Amino acid sequence: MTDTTPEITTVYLAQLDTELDQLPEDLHRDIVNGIREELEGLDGEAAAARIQQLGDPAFIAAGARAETPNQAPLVGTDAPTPGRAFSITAAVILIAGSLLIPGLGAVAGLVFVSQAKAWSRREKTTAWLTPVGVALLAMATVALMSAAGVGGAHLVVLVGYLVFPAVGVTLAVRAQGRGWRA
Amino acid sequence: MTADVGAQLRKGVVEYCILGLLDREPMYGWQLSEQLVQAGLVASIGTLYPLLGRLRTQGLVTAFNQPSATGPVRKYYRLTPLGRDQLNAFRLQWGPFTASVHRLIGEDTRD
Repeated sequence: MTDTTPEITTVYLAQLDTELDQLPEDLHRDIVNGIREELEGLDGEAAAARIQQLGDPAFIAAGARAETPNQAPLVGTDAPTPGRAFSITAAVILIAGSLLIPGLGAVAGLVFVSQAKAWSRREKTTAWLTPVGVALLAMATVALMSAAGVGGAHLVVLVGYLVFPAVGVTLAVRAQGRGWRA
Repeated sequence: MTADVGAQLRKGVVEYCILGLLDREPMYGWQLSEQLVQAGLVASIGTLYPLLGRLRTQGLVTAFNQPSATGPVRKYYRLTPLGRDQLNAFRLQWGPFTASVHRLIGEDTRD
């Protein structure tokens, strides 16, 4: 079957969909469906007249937002994310601290990461366990290399040294990707 | 005191006005929006839907789908028995309330 929906209707509904993007899902759906019902079956001329009555999609979205005071904070606004500065600091301490003060710096960084709001409990647990896993693997590798008489154990130690900054960078990238929210 | 008295008054009564309209007959979104916009109670259809959502959450209004004469299936809204009770309770208070306010503020008769 050929879609006979006039272009003006398709464009209007697409704009509306975009403008309502930040609203709660059920409200977003109700508004789009309610307006789609109203435009369905109208030819281009009738749809244009109805669209004029309905108003600009941005105006409709603003009205809905004004009546939805408890909606989640808008993504992309200037409003700072709670704890964002602390979370960034935690990532910096983990990366820089573990490079500058091996051992103590890494532990301090992980303690800060554990207190930050940008990561889930699972991510925090992984951040603690990854270096332990890598350390165990490094020790096993060194033991195997020694037994086999192969040199280059210092490279394994280097891997152990770099694992903390690597964890810090991974956490920072993940948090940055979602606006420093857990 | 707030500068935008009109907005505060509208906020206080608009949900009851929706209940009042639905007490006459079940209506769909655009039908409600047209009447409320005309009365100056909502700015646009976008303002209406969050109000309808709240009324449904409170169990005062319910929705159902019904095919229209011209084709598309529309979502209609109607009052629940609880909604009708709420509306009647508001009606009982509204008359005496507006009479009292009018008695207190009256009309400006000074030249």
